[in-house]
Amino acid sequence: METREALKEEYKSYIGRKIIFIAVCGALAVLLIGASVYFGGSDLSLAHIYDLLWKHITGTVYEVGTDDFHDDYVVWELRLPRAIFAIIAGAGLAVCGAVMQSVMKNPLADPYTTGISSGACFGMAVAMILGITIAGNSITDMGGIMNAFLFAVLPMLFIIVISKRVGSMPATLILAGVAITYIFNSLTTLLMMMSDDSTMAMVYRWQVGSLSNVLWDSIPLPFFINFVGIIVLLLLSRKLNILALGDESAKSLGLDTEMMRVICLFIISFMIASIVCFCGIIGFIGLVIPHIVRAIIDSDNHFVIPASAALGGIVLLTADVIARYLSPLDAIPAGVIMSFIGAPIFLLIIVMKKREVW
Amino acid sequence: MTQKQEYYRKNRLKIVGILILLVVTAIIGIYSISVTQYHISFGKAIDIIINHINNVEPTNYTEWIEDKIVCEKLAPRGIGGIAVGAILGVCGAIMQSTIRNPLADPYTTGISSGALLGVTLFTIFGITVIPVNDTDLGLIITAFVFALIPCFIILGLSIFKTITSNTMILIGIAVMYVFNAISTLFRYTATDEDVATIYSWAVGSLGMVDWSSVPILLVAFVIIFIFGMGYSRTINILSADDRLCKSLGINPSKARILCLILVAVATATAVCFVGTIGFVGLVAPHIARMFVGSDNKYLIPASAVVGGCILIAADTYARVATFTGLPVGVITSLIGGPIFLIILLRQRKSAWGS
Repeated sequence: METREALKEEYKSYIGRKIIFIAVCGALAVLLIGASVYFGGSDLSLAHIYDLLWKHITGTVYEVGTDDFHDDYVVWELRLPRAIFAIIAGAGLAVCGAVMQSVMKNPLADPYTTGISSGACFGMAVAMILGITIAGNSITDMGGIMNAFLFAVLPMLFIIVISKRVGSMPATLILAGVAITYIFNSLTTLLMMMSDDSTMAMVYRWQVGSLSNVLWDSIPLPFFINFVGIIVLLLLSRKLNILALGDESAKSLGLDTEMMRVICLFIISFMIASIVCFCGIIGFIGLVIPHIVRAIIDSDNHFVIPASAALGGIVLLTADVIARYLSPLDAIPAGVIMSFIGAPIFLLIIVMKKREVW
Repeated sequence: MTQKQEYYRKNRLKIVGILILLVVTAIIGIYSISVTQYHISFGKAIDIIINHINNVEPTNYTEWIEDKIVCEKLAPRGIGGIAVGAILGVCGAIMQSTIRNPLADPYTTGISSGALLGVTLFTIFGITVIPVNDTDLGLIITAFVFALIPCFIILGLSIFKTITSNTMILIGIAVMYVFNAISTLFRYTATDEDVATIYSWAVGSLGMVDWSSVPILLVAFVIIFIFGMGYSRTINILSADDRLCKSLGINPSKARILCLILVAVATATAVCFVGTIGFVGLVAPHIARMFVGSDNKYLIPASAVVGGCILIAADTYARVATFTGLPVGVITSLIGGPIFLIILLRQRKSAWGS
């Protein structure tokens, strides 16, 4: 009996550690929003910012033209949506990476390395430059997202096919991803060459992975899609764990592996499409975050998914803060900072080939 | 017919095939000098060239301009383009055979991203490896040295760890990601003018080739071609099996390193002048293999011809397609990307040791 009690205790503390990690990450994200709002072109003290936020929430209205009105505008209309979007996008991309890695049993899978982001990017470019959308709405609405989704699904389907044909060797998948990225990037370049200068500049500014175009308008759709997506994936997490055992074990436990894969990948494509539409391609979050999370709290997807979401949000927000700290005029996109951090870690993962967490 | 006769007949066919391709390439190359936005007909372009060779002075301003366009811009572009394509084709063929991976290509191993980083550092910060007064020369030397870094990273790792050919390519891609991230970050500190220079490099274009670069490209081609031909037997054995190499008295890792270094040097030379033009080195050997099979004695010259033909055709098409001048790198990616995927799909599971 005693050993069973001890085991229970150990298990509890084991689970407790994971929950604490997730909670700490969540709290940090909230704190970081304040810090993120603090950095920027116009100088505002931290206390003043929290004061402004509080006053805005309680409904204080300023006279047009006063200093307070201006500060309130900067904080509430420009910086806050950006910070919130960074958390949504970071969380979404990190969860996509975590799920892709377990679904494909491939430590190098990630929306960026598999070419899905560049597919979505091309879809959005089609909407922006040619004005063709499959949903028929304007590009700021679902139309752009549906376009991006359509072109994100293409590489995704290809990857499903290829991993069946040649086995999901990490190298094969990434090589396919590189080729897909090349193809979509050239198509996007072709489109950009066909467009006039101002559209080209607009598309260029958007696709580099900058958060500078984000306003309140762009928050609801990605928030909704990613929130629902993460919840659904969280509900599927036990099945994802079974899938990670291997197809044969999963089938013998009554799981339709093919169906499961397709469902997960469709949800992921939709999440990626909704993020890429508003901030372009931000790479390596989905690759790096799940690895860090797994190193700390092991590979149970039930915990890996929320922890990845929390940490992903923090990391992208931090990357954005660093980018704005380095260049107050907002010239450096957060995506560049992210690949600056992520690319060496990618190299390390390949060279070290750490198998323990897998 | 005896087997010997059959064998010789097949080899003659291969040589004839290579010669036919050579003629096709030459025709496209000559045709390419009349493709511009300035309305110079093919016959006129030929006249201009003949006049130029015969030292006939242009009589009026229009003729002088046309002479400049054809002889100073398009002619070196055509010759340089064929040379670059041929270099990339030969390098791709040698690489695919030596590291026994059909997806190997001088560009997938990170050489281009290294050169791009060199160009970025030089253009923005003026960092040179060897201080020279000439800006162009400094740029080329810096690009060249940086282009060799990824290759040495791969070689260095392959000495300390046993890595498979796929891991080699994967490391190349990872190095490419790292270098591209650094280049992109620096680009944001640059002025608009510098960004334009770097951009034209990043997409790859033959527009930068002039008479001063043609001899260097030709020399690079001749060196890598002679090396490849002279070494073709060893490369053939290398493409079979390491144990077979050893039993035939060849040190496989030494031979491989020698090949890779020469390939890196030749590719770096090409990249210096035209920027990153992807997939030619990958696709050319595959097309060549369909015609002449896998014997490197025929594969290498065939790849050279096919590579030159692809690149000059793509460049000519790019000039016809849009008058603003589509970068040739975009076209080669659009052709090469799908072919890369097809090759990947046709791979057998067994070929992929991880």
